Amino acid sequence: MVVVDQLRVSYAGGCVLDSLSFTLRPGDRVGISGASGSGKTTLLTILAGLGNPSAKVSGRAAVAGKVGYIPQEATHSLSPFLRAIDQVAEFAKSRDEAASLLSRLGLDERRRNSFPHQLSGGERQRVLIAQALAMRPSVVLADEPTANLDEAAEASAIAAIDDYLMKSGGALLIASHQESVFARLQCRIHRLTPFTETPLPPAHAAAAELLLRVDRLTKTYCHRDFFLRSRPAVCALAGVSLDIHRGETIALVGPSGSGKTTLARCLARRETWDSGEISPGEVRVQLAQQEPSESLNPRGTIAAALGEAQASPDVLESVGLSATWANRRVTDLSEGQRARVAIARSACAARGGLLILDESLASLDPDSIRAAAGHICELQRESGMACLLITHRADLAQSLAHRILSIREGRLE
Amino acid sequence: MIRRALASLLQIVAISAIAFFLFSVAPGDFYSAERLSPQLHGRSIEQWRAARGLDRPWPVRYARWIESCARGDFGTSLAYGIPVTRLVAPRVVRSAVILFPAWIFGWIVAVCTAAWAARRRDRMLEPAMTILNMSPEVIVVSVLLWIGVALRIPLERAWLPSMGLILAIAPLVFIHAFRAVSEAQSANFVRIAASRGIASRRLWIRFILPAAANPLISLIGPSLAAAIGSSLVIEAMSGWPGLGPLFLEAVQSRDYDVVQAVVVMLGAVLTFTNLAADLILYRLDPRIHLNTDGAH
Repeated sequence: MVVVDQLRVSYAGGCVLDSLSFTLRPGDRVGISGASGSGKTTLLTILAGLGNPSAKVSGRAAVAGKVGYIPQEATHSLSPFLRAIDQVAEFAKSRDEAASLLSRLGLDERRRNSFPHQLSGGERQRVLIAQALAMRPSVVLADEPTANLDEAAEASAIAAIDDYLMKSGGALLIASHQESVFARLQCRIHRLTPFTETPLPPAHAAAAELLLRVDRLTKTYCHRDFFLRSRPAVCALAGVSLDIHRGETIALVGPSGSGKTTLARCLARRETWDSGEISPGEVRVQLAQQEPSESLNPRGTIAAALGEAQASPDVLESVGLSATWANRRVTDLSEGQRARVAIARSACAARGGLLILDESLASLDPDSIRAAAGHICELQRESGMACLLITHRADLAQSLAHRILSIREGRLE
Repeated sequence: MIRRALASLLQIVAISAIAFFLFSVAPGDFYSAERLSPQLHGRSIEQWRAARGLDRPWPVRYARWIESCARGDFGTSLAYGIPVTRLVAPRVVRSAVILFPAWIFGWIVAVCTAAWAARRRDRMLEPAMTILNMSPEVIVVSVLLWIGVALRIPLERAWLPSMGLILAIAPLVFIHAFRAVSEAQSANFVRIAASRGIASRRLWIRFILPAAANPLISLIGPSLAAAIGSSLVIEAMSGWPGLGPLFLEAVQSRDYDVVQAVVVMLGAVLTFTNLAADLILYRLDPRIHLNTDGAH
């Protein structure tokens, strides 16, 4: 079904894949692991026929039959003009089939009828999974399909992919940095480069000095009816109070749609709130979003991106990249490397203030998380920067944060 | 929404005030030319001016003009001595029968050609259209005149100004449409949908065209403004008895009521076209919020 023979891919910056050969027969399941930048995404996009035109490709990479590609990046992979259900129905046999696929993946009636910009990153990713499965492919190519999903969603996504493969006898090629995903899908593992296992940096002691106080914050989102009038729809924050101290790391956990991102956006003043207060107003706040690499200008260079935050290219060293990469173009880096650059930049810009990581670490490989966390710790020690870490990964929250807060239906618990 | 409509109304009033102000700060008035005439006495010219209220400062005249507009009286042409409405209305109709069909036809031609060229990834048409877009109406109409004479087509017909207008609009729309469609074609979600083996027709209808329509809708207003601007010149050049020749003549002879009425009318047409375009965009793009409290 899939034949890769002596595949060699190189970008301007160097060789990514070298003499890679393997074959996939119907029913085969292969997991590709490797550090960020090891060529996982490159391989999958080439097989899906969506290779980066600036890459030099030699050797053979052929797929027989329909290819169901689940891209890593969910923001630009869905049409902004179609509701979730239509995105899937366009490729499914019937609308009912699309609806049942989406509901299996945990998207209820309201979310199925939402547009992509109204969905969270994890929900968009599940729409993409449904889209790929709805077209009944003979090969499923999945690129980090569970990176942005919380545990329940991850389980349902894995079950849906597993079920489909059992029924159709199709092949699976999946890239991930979480090897647990491979085990749950019973994949053969193919390592492109080995991981280095070092522990996460320990959180350092926080000062007691108050940085920011959030007082009874409320926010309700409105939607518009047919006559263009706004109607209250979702209560995102129902009176949130919170003290943030200098140098501390707070983890904020909670299910999808519990108001985590709304709180982050209010703190960063990207959103107005209905009542309550955030004081003092002049604290520097930087928000790194779910897909942090999205914040980099795709047409610029790394040095230009860092320059926007008055950060020197030496920062690259502290997140485990080479300072000589400063003149590379943003698009020549892998998703994980771009994310590291973006997080490092946000951290530098937040020096002495508050850095909010809204699931920014979720899609990163362990190496990148370690590098980014190390850099953030250093800045916290040096400038007393506080960090609000929004995540659904319990291991990250426990190892990086001083305290863990959980939020549910717009209330802190 | 109502707020938006009110803002549009205010915009039209602002346009009229600015036009009035600019026209009154310019030196001279309708009677300046008469002053050179040896048969006329300076005193009688002054009397005429006073009778018309032209000796008053412009804010007073503007207030009077607004007040008479509210009564439905848009003033009287100094050159023709008849009410502006009676003078302008037939001209407007004659201009509109050329302008709107040419504008719409130009759009259709341009969008279809652009989609066709973008689909074939044909890069040849774009520079040609850019050149055509940059060439002044004077040259385009001259070439058309020459062709018309060569082919012995009767010149008093509407074909000359119509063709001129289409040639003024289509290249502008083409350039934008071509870029919009090309960009939509290379958008990630379109490439991914294509890689899933969707039928080409569905791909165009459901994915490419909605994405490409977005920037084009914002072009509706500016393209109409360009069309109106071109039509004034083209009508005057081709001798079509529309608004163009009248307007140019009125500006030259400082027939201020006529100029004012035409400026305000065109301003109103453009303002409401822009409003309509915004509404269409709002209906088509789910990402747009009208309320300012919706963030972004």
